[in-house]
Amino acid sequence: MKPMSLKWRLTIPFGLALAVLTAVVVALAYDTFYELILDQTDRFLVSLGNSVSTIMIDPAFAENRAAHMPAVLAEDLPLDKRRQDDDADESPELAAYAWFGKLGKDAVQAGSESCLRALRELAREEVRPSDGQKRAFDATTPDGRFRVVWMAASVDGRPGNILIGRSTTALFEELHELLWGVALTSGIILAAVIVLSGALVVIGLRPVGKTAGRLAGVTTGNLGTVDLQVDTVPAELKPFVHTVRDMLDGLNESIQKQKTFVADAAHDLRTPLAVAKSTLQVALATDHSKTEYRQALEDATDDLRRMEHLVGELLTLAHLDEIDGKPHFQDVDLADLLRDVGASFEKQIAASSGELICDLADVHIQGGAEQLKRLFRNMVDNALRHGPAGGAIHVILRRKESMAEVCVKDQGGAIPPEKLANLFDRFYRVDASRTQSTGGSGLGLAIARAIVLRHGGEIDIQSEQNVGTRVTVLLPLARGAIS
Amino acid sequence: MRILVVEDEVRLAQNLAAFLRKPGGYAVDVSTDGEDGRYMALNNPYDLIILDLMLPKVDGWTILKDLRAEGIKTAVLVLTARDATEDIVRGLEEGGDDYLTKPFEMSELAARCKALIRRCYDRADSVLAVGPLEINTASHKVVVEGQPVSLRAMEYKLLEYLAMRSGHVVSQADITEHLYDFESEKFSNVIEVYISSLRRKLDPDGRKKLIQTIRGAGYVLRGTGQ
Repeated sequence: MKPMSLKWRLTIPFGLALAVLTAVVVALAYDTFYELILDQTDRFLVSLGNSVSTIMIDPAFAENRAAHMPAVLAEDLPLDKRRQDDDADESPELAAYAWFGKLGKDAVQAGSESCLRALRELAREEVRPSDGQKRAFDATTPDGRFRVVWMAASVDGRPGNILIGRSTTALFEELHELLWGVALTSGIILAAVIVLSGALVVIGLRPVGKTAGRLAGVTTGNLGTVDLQVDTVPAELKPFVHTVRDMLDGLNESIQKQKTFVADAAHDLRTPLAVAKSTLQVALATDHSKTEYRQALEDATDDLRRMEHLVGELLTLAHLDEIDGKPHFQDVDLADLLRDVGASFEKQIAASSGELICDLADVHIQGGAEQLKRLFRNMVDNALRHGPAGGAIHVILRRKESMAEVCVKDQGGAIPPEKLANLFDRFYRVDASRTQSTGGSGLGLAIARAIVLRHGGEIDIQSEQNVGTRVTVLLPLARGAIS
Repeated sequence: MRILVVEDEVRLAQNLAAFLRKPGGYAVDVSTDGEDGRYMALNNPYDLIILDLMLPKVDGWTILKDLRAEGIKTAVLVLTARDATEDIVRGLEEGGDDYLTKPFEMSELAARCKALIRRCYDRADSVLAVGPLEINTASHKVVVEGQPVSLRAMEYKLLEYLAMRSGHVVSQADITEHLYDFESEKFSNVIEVYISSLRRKLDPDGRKKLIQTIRGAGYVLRGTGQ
């Protein structure tokens, strides 16, 4: 499902809440006004009823009660007098219906015919309230709505009844009109508020749009140079922009590293290629002796070998970089493995009249045998190339708590301390010229570190004048001993 | 014409020198580190410098900057394995005249060298014409009044140099500095020998007087009527 826009997501609940609130307020107002109207009407009817009861009881009126009734109805109208001032046409329909004893006998009645019909019907259908009590009714007839109060009292043992009623149709119509007006006004206000809040949301979200615009301007070309203007962003957006900025910085760093790596790899592949090509082209340019041709071919072969070695190392690194390219871990006898590595360097060491001194404890670890072999070979190879000709190389294997420690020492010159940290970088060479005079690809220690990290270990290099350089590797004995 | 090659890959430097020194080609000096290369570039009148960027001791950028700071206008061809556009732009903006990435074709490099040197002597055409004399610098063919003349390598190099600077007096020292590298043996009377043999071959009856000797100053190559 398409996610709802932020504008609607904010406006709809807000609008709904406002609508419910308005409805509740209107309903309460209706209820209050309704009660108020009935209450006032009832009081008015009761006061009229009291006047009627005087006519009914007072012997002074006994002669012709029915003749006095309309006067009572006409005079005692405080509410309706006011109304008549305002609106002469709309005087309410009033009626009174009173009798003693049985219904229909000697009933005294006065008032509007439609109201009287309602009173008579009510008197027939409803139950008489007990003596001294009164009860109010709402009656809806074809003539309209009426409010009726039934007052009951016994006089000299005769049960007396007075029903006073008035039409309420106009009153309720007015109430409904008023409420419709309120509802309509609320509706308009509600709609305006919704539109306004929608606009506010859009205005409020403008910084998001601006930030997004700045983010959209970020490309691989200008990465690291775009200012996201974190200071101008509202506080609510800051964490978001900070996160994005940090992410971009990290990305930039890794892209730069990757670029450098690719440029270095290209440089180091191109150089031997250029040498080989130039050698062959010079050989082909003019006629040469057989020995000269042979020399050119041998030289070119050497260059190819150099490239082959470099390509191999690059592939190894690429393989180690694969996230899920886990080596097959098995039990590895490190002493045995180091002896094998030492043996593979025998010829080279003998040629430089050097010495390889091993001090190996019996330590087994969980690891990839081929990768570990490569790691130690790189370490010894490094020591051989950077140590003095005829110098001794020490290989020490010890157990250190839950780790295996392998240490390779040479008697080479000191490496400046500020350059030590960079030695594990790909293609890093202490001399910036990148010559391959020492024969290294510049990837040996980078590969070593990648392998050590794969095994959850640590690698460190120390160098001291007159002592030599020492590369130390710590590997966990069991897999998962170090996360 | 004399070229300096500053390249730390010893074998590549040697190959370049060997190729450029071909008969009729260039005098070539080689330096395999930046410090030495900068010294040589600053102290010898090279016609072209082929410069690697990543060099031990002093890098190529610095050498370029120092050369231009010293007001040396020698053409510089940057020859490097760095092929990123920003490197090329930087190489050209910091005073390089051309940029070639490794690996490269020897023939292309030689052609670029030739074009750069020609430009330095303000020549647009690869055929140098001086009066009745026409020298094709691409094929090394020399023609006088439509007749081909066969020259030895050193004679050709000398004639080409004189033709590049035709109308100007060229001293013996100029000739020695531009036609010999540090490895060749230099004898000033050898130049006189080449001059007289050139005169013989180009102007057997001595009417045209193409190469004139200016006493105490040197030689000048002029077309007839000048």
